[in-house]
Amino acid sequence: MSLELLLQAAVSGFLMGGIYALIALALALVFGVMGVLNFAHGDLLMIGMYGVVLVSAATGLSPFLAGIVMVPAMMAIGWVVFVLLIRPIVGSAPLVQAQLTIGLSFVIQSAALLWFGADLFNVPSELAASPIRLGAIVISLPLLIGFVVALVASGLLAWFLSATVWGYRVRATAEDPVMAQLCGVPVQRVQRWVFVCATGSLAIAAGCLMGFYHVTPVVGLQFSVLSLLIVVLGGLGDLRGAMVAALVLGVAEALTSAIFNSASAPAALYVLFGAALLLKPHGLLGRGAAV
Amino acid sequence: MKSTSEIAARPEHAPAGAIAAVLRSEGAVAALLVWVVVAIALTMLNGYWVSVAVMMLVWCYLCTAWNLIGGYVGQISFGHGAFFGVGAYCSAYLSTTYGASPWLGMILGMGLSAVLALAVGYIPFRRGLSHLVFALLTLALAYAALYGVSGVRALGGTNGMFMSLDETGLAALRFRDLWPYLIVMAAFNTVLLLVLQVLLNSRYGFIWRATRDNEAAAAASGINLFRSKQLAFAISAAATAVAGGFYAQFVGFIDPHSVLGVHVIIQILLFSVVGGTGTLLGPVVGTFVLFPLGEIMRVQLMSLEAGSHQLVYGVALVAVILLLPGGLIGVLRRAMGGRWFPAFSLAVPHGASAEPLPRRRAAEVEEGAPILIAEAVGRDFGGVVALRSVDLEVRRGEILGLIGPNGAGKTTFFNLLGGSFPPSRGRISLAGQRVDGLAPHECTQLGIARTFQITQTFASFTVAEAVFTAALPGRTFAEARSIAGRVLARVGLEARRDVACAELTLSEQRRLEIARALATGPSLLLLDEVMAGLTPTEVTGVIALVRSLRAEGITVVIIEHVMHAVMELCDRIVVLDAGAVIAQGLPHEVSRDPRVIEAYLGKRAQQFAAAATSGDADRHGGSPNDDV
Repeated sequence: MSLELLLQAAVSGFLMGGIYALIALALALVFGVMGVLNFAHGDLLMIGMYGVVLVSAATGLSPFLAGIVMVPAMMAIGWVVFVLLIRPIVGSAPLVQAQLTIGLSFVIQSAALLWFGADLFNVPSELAASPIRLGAIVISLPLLIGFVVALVASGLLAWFLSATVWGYRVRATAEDPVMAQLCGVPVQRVQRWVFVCATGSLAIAAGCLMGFYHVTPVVGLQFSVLSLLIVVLGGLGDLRGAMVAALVLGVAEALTSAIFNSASAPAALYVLFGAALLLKPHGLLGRGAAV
Repeated sequence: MKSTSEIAARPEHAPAGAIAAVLRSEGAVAALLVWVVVAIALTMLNGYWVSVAVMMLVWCYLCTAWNLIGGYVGQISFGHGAFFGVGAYCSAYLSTTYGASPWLGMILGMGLSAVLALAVGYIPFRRGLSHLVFALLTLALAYAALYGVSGVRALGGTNGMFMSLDETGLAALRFRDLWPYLIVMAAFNTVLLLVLQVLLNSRYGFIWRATRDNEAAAAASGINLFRSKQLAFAISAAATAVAGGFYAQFVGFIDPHSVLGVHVIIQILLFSVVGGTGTLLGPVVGTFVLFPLGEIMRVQLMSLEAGSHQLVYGVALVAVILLLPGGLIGVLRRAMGGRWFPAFSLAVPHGASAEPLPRRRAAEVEEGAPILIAEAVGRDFGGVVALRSVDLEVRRGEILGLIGPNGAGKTTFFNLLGGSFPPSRGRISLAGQRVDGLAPHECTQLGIARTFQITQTFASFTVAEAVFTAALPGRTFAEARSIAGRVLARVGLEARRDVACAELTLSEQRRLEIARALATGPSLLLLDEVMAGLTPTEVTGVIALVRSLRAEGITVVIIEHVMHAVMELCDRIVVLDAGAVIAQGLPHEVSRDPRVIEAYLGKRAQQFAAAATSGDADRHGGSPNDDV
């Protein structure tokens, strides 16, 4: 086990963590504003990934641009999902919400299987052929671009939440929906738009991922669980915590697989997650709601 | 089905009665359903569909096992895939490596799963963490097991393991034909259903359902929530492992994905929720409806990718949650109304009210001596000081009023006495024994009973069941039944005993709170605003009730804002403001205390009152430290 190898894993993991952050922020925001822990989050992302594949194939756009093109389509999907499925369960028991969104995840997964088959899709790109070398460390260009795009998108989100009137409304709704309603915030509209925009932002994340990643019908579940871990690790409702947790998880994931180099490696992540859940129930920064 | 039955009420004592009760129950009907499926499969279906039927019974069994913790105790476990896998791997590893009987592996797998469940449940259940923590922790367990096993070469890694095929027969749990598998799995289902039915008819049924419906009320009823949840989780996990052992022998091959994959728990959730959790029939019916549908879809979609038939599962789950809360069985139950299986009926003779109510540790303190002493008790929440420092004693046989403006810390003080959370400082002793830091059920078992300001009910219980459950911990069925009858008559709820708790009026809910507290057999009764929102007539009724309880020797502390009732009822009054005692004494003394008037009405009112009553202003009695 050489130091370079570990450093290489840490850098790649960190860049991957930046993209995880964008995905998890959308989940954290949805949970914060409407209290729904969406187990189909990764499957919505997967729709975006397939969309990016189709758009890229049809137009020849790079996956990053194709992701931006996909935003309106994903927002429309978010709208439909919110109105049909999410709105009726806002305020229900958390496990009813979990079960309903698991059902949705199942539907999306099976539909993807019907439509695209189990084959692996990716977007061929010449960017991958020209990596950046920093000494012994190799940085894949698509991964770096994905990281930067995700970072910019996350920054825009932070700016929106902290500096605009609608951002204040969103935060007020997250803080206390009843109080927000009494202060004249149109809570239902805020919830709907947050869900729509969160789903839309998944298109950008999908674009970032498709620069170097592949999509199959099971990646949805994988990303659902991953973003769930990040949001819980960061502390429910704590966006900064989610950001930090995403980077930590990205690095931890890369390091465990580099160190253990075995099919068992991911198990370490889940053991760590269980320990963090018990030892830091308010999240890594200690500022989230108790789970 | 008759709606009441003497037999159903005494399952613990008459074996014949117990058997009869089990045979007339949901569990027996569910088991019958399983055998109907067996009969249909053996007479009408071809080989392929018989093997589908075997797998259906495996899922049915898994859902039933999961339903104990997920449905009856209400703790959603995402980790049952791990227990299924443990059973499969134990049995497969032992039989292929050492040639041991798969039955031995199954038993070992049961033990291992139970230990695993107890280990995973320990911290969340001990600390009373939320349902979500438990759910996520079990999800982590499932994934850790899936990936963990994938890297173990002795267990075949990601390639999996093949069973040895040489031996056949019941001892090896391998058969040449399909039908013995069907019979064995049906027998497993039957045993599990009947065992669960017996458990649900016993005290555990009440304890588990109470734990699910309302943890605060269950703990105040003297139920040890930790043990209740751990027991159910361990039984559920052990039962699940059996199916794993069977699956390994039936299929002849296991790998991490097939027995430890997330699809295991997802399908369990699907079938159980669609059928209706928290009923024995629900998971059975859910599996019997959905699984064949999925298989038909699979055959129809044979040309397409494997797994796409599961679309029907997802759609069914979403539709049931949105349109049919309670699942298919919920619909059936509503349609049948009163003809559904009687959960429990209370065979208590009417008019048994003359006998005294039970009391725990009553005789240890003399009349008038302090039964409860709080010394410098305080409690902080983060940086907020809810209770600064309270010194207080309650004398045996008195009715003590605890008053003060909103936010004074009265309910916080009750929560400390009842064990809802420990004090940040100070000590509390009951009859000479320290009780601070004890869990709620321990306080209840020592003789402190409380009501809640916001009434806490068991949603799925009738009034009689709720009171019976509160009387149950530490007592036999017969004793608890007799106590429940007496308490119901005493608080005036006898006529409403078969009504669901959720359907009571506000006044009745408050009486039920008192009834639940009384049924635990308290020597010290804490009443938190039991008169708030009641009509004057109802208030008079409560006053008479509290007086009669004191006459029996129960010491009462009462938080109340209905001032005339406090003045009329209480022997002594303690006034709290901003987390500290500001006055105590006889009712008429306290009501003239300038500090009390200031606390309630503000400084100017206090000056006004002082001017008006300047004649006797110097006679005020209670000061915070008089009696301590």
